[in-house]
Amino acid sequence: MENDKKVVLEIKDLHVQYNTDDATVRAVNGLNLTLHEGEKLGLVGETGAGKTTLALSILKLLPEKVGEITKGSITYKGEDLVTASEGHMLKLRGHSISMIFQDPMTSLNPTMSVGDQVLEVINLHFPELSSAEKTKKVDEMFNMVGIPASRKGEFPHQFSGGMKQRIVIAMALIAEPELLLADEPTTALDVTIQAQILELMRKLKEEFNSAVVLITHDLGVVAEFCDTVSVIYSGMVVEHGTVEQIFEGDGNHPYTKGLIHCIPSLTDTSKRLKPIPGRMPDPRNLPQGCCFADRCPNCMEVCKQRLPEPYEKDGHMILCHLYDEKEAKNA
Amino acid sequence: MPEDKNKPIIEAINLCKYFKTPKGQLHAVEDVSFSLMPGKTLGVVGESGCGKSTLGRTILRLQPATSGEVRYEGENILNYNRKQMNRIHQNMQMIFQDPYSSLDPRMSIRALITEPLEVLGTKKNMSAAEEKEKVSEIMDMCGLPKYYNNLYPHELDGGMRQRVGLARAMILDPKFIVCDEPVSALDVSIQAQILNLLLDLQDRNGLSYMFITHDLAVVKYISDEIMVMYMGQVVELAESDELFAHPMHPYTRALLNSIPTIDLSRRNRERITIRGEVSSPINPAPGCRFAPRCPYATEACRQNQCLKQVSPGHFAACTEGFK
Repeated sequence: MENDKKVVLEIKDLHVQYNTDDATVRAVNGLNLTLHEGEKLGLVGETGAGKTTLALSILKLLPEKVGEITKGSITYKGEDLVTASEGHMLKLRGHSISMIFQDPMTSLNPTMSVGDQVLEVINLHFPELSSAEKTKKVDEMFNMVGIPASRKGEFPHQFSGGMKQRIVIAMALIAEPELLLADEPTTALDVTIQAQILELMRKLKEEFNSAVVLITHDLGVVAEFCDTVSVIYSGMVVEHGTVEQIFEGDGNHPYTKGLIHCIPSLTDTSKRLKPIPGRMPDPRNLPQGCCFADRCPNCMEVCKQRLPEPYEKDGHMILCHLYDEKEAKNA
Repeated sequence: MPEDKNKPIIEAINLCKYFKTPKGQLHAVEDVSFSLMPGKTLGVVGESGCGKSTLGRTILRLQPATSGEVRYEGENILNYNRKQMNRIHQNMQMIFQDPYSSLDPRMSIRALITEPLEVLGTKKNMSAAEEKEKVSEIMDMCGLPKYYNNLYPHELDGGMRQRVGLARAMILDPKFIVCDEPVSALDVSIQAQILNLLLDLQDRNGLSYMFITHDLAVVKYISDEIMVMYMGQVVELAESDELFAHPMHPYTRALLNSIPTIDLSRRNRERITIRGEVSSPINPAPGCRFAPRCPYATEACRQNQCLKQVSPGHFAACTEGFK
């Protein structure tokens, strides 16, 4: 079903590293991702899994000199972004690909009124409009995200966190981008406000039919909002599937299973949580085999020696030797 | 000291905490009463700014209360002098939200863990060998490897730092710990480790917790009783399962409805979104503070509000949410 739709973004074997004086930090290690038109993809993983690095790589906003794409390709609607010029990226950013950052408190300029900040974005993308039209557009954007346009003369500190995030969303959506990258857009917000923002994003998504990449560590948010999920561990997608395959299927990657067991259930309280022991490997010094091997309850000898080949069935991809084995037996 | 299992270890009676601001009085905690039994956990939930941390700090007397009482084992501690408080503070400890800013970066892990002994003067009664043994026992209990002794906080990750925070509280053998969002800054896999550790310590030492959080799934997992706060007021108080099964207050209901879960069958539920934002707690209007956002609000809601018992052990300020 998804496959009939146009591919918006395709990432193949992406490697990103940060070069520091002491070490090379390998943040993204052979990551693959395909996103179709209008799809809502959830990118889940823990701190340091490489989620934000991936988003910054797509927009080519990696810190200069330090961050480097060493291998792989990022293709946006048929054009390669890795080799694209800065001038071309400037045209894409905000226009075709937009990003919402985690912290609404720091992504707005404290010295400019919010209306002026929205206007700034309009000036950039629609220089041809007359100033009356621009003002009208500012008002429209405020109304769309549920903030009275009469407050556009106010400054960021006069708004609450949820309202600031709405303003940031308005700015990201002005040019009706075809791809929206949302990096932990609700993490800094309370649950009731989070519900409002997710509802807003859902509504806006329907209106513009943008493809959305929602980066989060919260599996609950993914289950609520997304169609498909990619679970990221040590800069690799270890499992990819539809929300049903991930949350209701029985064959999951051991890491995904571990994550699901870590979340307290609202319905069943009798069970103790089963935490994943240990922590993610140091990205300066990655193991040879599967990165999850040290923490995996199903770890085998082969896991420590080499990386598994992706196992795929009905669009559900799992990167784990357990499924290799099954495959071998069935063959 | 003989411990009576049937007597509350901590009680708050009509506790209020106001702050003076240039614009007027900020009502952070308004008329809060509860009692906590030994070995039990009281969860306090609410959104940012609802006064849950202020409540925790006021109960520990880290800041003076405006009015009301806090009783530790039946005695009002609000007028205790410094010496008496030192004695009480050995039994009442706190762990903080941010494991990155609550530890002095220039102190070694060992120094951090022994600091409370020095501060409360317990160290004088201990020989160096005893102290060493105590520290290694506590580190072991909190899952900290021995070689951490001489490390510094920046060398540890968030989960381990939170364990150090917990060890600092545990070294005094407290009976009651206020846990202020102890797992909010941690990843889920680490969060589960810390939650299980807290439960293990409770089973072993008979600790009582006041667990402050905005995460409803976490609070359900760890608490026996849950108190829901909105702008300084308690809107509902009930046993954990009861609260989730029969939320009475419209705010509680909306809050429970807003939680994102991995249960896909909830995806198509009827969503209760609360309109608007929390209003200002400075010089608030009398009556229910949730009224401006409440879909059921009537004129009567602006008069006054108080908790009423709706079923044994279940108190709610309003029952309009129960449908």
